[in-house]
Amino acid sequence: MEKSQFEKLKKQELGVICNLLKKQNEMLGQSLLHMDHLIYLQKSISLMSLEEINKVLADKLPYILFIRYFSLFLFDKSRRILTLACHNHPDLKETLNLRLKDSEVMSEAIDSGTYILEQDHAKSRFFKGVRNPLFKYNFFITIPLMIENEIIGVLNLNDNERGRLNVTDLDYFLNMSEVISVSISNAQSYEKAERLSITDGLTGLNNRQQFQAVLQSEILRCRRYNSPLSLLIMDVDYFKGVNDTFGHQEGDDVLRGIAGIIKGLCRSYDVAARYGGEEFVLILPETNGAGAWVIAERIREEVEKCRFKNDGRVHSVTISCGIAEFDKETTADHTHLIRVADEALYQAKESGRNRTVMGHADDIFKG
Amino acid sequence: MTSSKADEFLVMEGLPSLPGQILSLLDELSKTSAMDYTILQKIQYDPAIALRVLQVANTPLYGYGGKVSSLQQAGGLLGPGAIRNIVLTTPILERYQEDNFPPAFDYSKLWLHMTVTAVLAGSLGACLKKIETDVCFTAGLIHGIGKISLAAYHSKSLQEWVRQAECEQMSLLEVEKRELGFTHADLGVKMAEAFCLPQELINAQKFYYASGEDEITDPLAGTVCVARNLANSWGFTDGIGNEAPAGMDTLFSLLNFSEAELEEWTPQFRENVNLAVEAQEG
Repeated sequence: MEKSQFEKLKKQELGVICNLLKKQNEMLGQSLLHMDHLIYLQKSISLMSLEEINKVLADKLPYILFIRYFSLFLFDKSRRILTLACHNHPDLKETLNLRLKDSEVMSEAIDSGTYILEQDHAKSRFFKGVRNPLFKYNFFITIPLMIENEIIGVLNLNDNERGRLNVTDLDYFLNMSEVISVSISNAQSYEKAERLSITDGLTGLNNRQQFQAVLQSEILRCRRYNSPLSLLIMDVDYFKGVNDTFGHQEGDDVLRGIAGIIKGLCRSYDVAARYGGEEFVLILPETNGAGAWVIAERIREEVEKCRFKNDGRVHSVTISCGIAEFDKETTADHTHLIRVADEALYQAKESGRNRTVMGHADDIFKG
Repeated sequence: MTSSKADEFLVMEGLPSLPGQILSLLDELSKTSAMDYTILQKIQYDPAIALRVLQVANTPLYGYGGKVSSLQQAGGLLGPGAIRNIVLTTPILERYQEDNFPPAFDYSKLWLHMTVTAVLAGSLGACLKKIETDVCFTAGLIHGIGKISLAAYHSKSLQEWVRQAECEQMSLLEVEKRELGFTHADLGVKMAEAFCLPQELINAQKFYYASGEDEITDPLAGTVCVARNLANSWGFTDGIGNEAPAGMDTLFSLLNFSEAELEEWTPQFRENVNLAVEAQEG
């Protein structure tokens, strides 16, 4: 090869290398930007509260993903319901529940466990020619949010500045969706654990520990504001007989039924709990003894009227109720109040059951 | 092979590629719409990038360490993001540095030889139905990694050994053995082992440059040897030294097919090669 030809080839190659370096620079820059955004998103949504995560996503996700519109639905597998968690669509309602079958595209993404990407919204079989005037460009992508093959939600993305998507964008979205899935799943697990730690597993009411914590704080509040407070303790009469006659499963159904009646009759600020085996308690803030009596009788009567069915046999149960009214002067603490209500319940049992008895601190603590 | 000596020639960052090849791949990666993803079709014409893709796919990171034998399998496993990063970080082969004058080799010819051998190995694999076509293709594409490594990183020395082989009427392998204590074929095996490629690709590397007297027992290596012989006889030589071709009779017997069958398949093989050449040159 002549030197001149070598020089010519060298010059040509330098031109190619120059273009190559520009391209590498552009792509490496984009990779770094994606990496930065990934780290930023991960830091921003490392939160224990789902509500907080949703707020962050609503504010930041479009900028992080370089897209114009998004909506994120959470999926309730047992009910097959999609609940809108966050979005940035101007006209979409803040609360929206959809049955899975009502959204073909999300339904298919969830059932197949894979993303759906279509370049033309108008030609898509999912939208049957209907275009959303909000979107400038036609592509859309629906990504199922998964944790270990379990689908927890769906992310819908529409529109970007460039008007098209390439493989790098898609790969980026899929990576980001995994980060979002992990954060949402962690927050859901945390909230569930928190809920379980204060909830009775059988009845869904608060458990004993939670009841005691609430009662203590209510007593402090009553002392501070000099407001009334009553406590109601209820016990199912002859509950052992229910278990012996109909079995423990039926016994559980009876407890769930009574819990349902209590929940249905108490006010939003009352706190109901399962206190032990077949014993329930109800904290009644802003309620004096007379008011508590009315509520106790209403619950007792509803339980008496309720009919339980077991293998074609119908049966009913009754409850006995004991009431304690908080008295700033005589009630020392929450254990004191519980003891008064418990003593009243004992009297209700002793005097024939299926009745309500008002407790008096003097009966216990005289002398 | 003298291990320590060959180890000095191992470049763990892999092989460099031609700037034009890398640029074309990067262009493809940024243009490609998600609906018509064709990056693997481009990579399959570049032995250096193909080797890097296989190297990464065979790390324990992706859960299939030492088990990924084909480029197609590797591509599916890694996904576009990882492939993009591999292409982005591929070293550039500098062909026209001042101290390379006169140029040692025609690297484009070397690349084309690997591609044609890959296409022929894949085509032969499809006809013989003994080994997966994609594995035959991949083995054909990377069969010359030892030679590419010497050509890229030790071009002056290789140029000298080629000259000696011509003057002394010896094969390049014999001269390399005498001068280095190992051959580019041995280096290929060493690289395949160091990059944790699957055993079938390592085994096959041992026989790619077998000559008439050698006994080839590995069907994958045999398939690539036939492909390489055909590529050379059709004018797609690598342009680096003379090597005695493996005996075709031995290969027919090993792979259980005849010269007549090969003639029957040849038109299709030619068509496949022409398409690949057009794609690579286009």
